[in-house]
Amino acid sequence: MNFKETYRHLNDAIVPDPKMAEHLLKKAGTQPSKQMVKKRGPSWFKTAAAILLLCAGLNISITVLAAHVEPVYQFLYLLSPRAAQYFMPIRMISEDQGIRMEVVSASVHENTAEIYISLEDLTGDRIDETTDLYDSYSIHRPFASVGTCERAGYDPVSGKAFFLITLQEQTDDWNGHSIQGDKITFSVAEFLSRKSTYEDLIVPMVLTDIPEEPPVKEVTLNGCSGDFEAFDIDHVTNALVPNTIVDILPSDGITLTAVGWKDGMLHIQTALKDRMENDNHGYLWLENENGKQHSVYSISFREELDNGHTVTYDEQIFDVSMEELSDCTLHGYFVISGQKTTGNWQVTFPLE
Amino acid sequence: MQEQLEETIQQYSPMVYRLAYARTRNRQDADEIYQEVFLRYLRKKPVFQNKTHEKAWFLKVTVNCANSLWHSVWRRRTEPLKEELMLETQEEIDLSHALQKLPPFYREVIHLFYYEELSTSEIGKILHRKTSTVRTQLTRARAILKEILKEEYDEF
Repeated sequence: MNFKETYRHLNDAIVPDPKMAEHLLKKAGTQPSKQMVKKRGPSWFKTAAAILLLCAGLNISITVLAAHVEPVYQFLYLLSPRAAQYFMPIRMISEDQGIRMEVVSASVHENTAEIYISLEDLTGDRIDETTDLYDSYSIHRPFASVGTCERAGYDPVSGKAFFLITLQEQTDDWNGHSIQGDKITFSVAEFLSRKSTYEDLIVPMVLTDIPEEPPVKEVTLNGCSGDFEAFDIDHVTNALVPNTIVDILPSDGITLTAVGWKDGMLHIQTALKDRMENDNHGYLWLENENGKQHSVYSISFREELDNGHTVTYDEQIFDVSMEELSDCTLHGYFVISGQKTTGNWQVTFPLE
Repeated sequence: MQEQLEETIQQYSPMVYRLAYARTRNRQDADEIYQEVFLRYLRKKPVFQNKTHEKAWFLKVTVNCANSLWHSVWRRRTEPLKEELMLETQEEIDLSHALQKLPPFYREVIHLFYYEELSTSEIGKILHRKTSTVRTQLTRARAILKEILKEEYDEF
């Protein structure tokens, strides 16, 4: 038997869903050539949207329409001019902790439902352009589907952050089933804001003088990623002993805590404050004139401090030689959240 | 312009998706990588010197996006999809299971070599690995597959 032939035949069958390409073009603001969207929505809303589209075409300021079209829909139009034509206003509200969550509008087309949600702080400034629902939302619906929620935009004038929920039916009999009238419950338990993202932070560290047998200790892992299986990493394993080496960004609590050669691989360990609580995260990579080199795998473990706080350490393992490392610089990508707000926001609404 | 974007997406869609799937062996992750690759393309609209450059760009970005996915702690919440890969023969079933067991690190080397038919030097440039490293990884990957498949293949 020929491996190559079997491998090729196996892979020939792997193709992406063509709808993903359409979705991409929509996201890019480019209309797919095959119009597949059915028009829906009440006539007044379509009229308003048409006026907005006309004004956009004639380069007329959107603000002159303030008396006719509510600001929230003007902003939705800016977010997605094409989608704004088909949205049905919903305007259902849930308030807790001085935060108002509103289901602004929804649309159903083909096998997809798209719902815009907004968050607004009625008492302070806990909502900003970085507000993120991360993993704290849930979507309940009576039909089988894949559901995602992504940040859609922030309106600095109203102080509202917008999120787009997309539900895509997964059953084969979608065409025979209408989800119109089905009720959806969207709930949020907490959200993050005041996030700082460091896309390419250069870590000020000399990479030519790294200890070859650094002290290690046995730890119980609470996470692994990458190709850890290839290295037989057990639940209990040896990690470098943490000790502050470089405060990468002291104000944001990003610290390089250990570095060393172990079993011929380069280990670099970092600690992030409130990593688990605030979804703070990041990773390091090596870079030279040939490009970036990412770690082969990484492990993470936690330690309780005397003051009651917990620190989570991430140790990345790089398959690199000392010679290769000599002309590399160490870089990092980090996302740090400044504030977490908890509460109970829940809205049930029909898809129409 | 729109036609050109659509044409490029259509042309490279299967290649990007297959490499993403080869690396992750998971439709959901492959979908995510696929979308990220083309979103980067649509955002940056890079200008390519020629078709070879264009193909290499898509392969490199796919590998980078797959790496970022591994490192991403925050992942969008989605519900799992059922496995949709249609396997026709016992050989394909066995090979699919063997690939599942192969470390992802090696899967992309196997895919670029056997499916995209790239040389070890070209693979090295895409994966930012030395040609010698790629050769070693290819040898190790073949050895692992042979071990799992119990010498089922005469010719690799």
